Amino acid sequence: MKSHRAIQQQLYEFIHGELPEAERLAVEEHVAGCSRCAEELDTLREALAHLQALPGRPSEFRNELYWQQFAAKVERRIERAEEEDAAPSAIRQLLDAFVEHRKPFGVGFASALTLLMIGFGIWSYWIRNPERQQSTAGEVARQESSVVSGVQKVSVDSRAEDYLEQSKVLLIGIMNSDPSAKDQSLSISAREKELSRKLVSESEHLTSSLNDPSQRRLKELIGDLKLILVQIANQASEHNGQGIEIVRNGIEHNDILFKINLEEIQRTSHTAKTGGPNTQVKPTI
Amino acid sequence: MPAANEQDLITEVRQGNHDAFRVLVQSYMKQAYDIAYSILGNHDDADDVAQESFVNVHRSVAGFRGESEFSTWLFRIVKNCALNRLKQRKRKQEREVDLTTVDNEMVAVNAGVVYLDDTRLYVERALHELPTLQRAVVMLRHINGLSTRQVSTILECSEGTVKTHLHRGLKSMKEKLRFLRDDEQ
Repeated sequence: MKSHRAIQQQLYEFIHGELPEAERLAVEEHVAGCSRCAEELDTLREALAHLQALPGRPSEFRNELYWQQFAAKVERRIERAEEEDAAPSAIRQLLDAFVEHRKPFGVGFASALTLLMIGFGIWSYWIRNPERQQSTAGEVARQESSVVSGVQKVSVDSRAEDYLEQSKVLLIGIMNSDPSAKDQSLSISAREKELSRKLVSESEHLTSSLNDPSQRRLKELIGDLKLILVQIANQASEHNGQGIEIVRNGIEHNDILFKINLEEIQRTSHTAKTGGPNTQVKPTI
Repeated sequence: MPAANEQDLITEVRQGNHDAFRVLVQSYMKQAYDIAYSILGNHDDADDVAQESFVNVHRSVAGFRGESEFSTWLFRIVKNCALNRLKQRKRKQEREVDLTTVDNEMVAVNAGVVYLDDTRLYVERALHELPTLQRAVVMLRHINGLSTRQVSTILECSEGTVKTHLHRGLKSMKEKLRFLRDDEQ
């Protein structure tokens, strides 16, 4: 005796006459005496009647041309698949290249990022410390001013040194002239007058340039020298005898040569201490 | 196709004979299409999956050892391709707005007026609304005329399971199409 479920599972084959004769008879007997399975049989028959509305197999939906081209479409897909297997796609190549160069790229990226961070740190430090910028700018200005003044000082010192040297030679020549040789000793040559005028002009320039307190004594010396040099430059030829004596008296009275020597000694000593180029002591009178 | 000829064709396909492969495709393309459609319920997908199945056959025919019939091996490939496509489609549908409910409501509103073409439309819809295995069994068994054993081989399940799915599927369709009989009365 079969169960209801076993009978119901055979109902489709029963309807289509697919069951062996013995089983067909067994189902037929069961359905005749079982309203529940008989109802199931009616249900299946009704469902199968609905299915008759369908046109047929799904493949019949496609026309003959479709089936003629089907194999060719499959072959084209196979060719494309083989081409893709042989040649990786551009995206795949890009990914492979990235994977291959991953380490160098990473190192380069890290380096660039580090440099960027350092640059940003410096920039932000300067942005947040404007006083530092100003003070630094002030320091630069002072340094530049110091350099300029140093250059100027060196220039003035060099000119003063030349000025003193030429003045000393001029004054020594006047002081050492022979009074017995009247014609020549009592006269101041045109070359000496010319040199005196140039030295007077240089005196004015140096006086205006010597503003440093440490140069006060040099400035006074140049002032005294200027008076002597003006007398020399203004000597008239008819008053040469008296005029030269006035100049000598002025040189001696003011100890001009002594002061020049003293200045030169001090300058030589100072230059030797600072390691300057002119360390050689110049000869004195 | 005689088994001996089929085995010769498979041997030639393994050796790279394109004509032999074309013969195999033309021999089974309609059945492959029907199986794909029975699972997918969509002609476009059935077309794509049937072609894809033959591409897979060509790629792996060297590994076919002949332990089962070529048709059985091919139809299982079609079944697996169709089920994979079904999974992809379901994942895609989950991400999109479900329009099925709206569609059913439209059917219900228009259910009072039934024309001849509408009957076929509703039967098709009722068939497609069945669970995948029930639909596949109903189509392969009833519409394509395959035996219970053949269907069980293709779907890799027992014959009892095929019979159960067939019975439940037909019963469910009858319930879904009950309104057609009410209109007739």
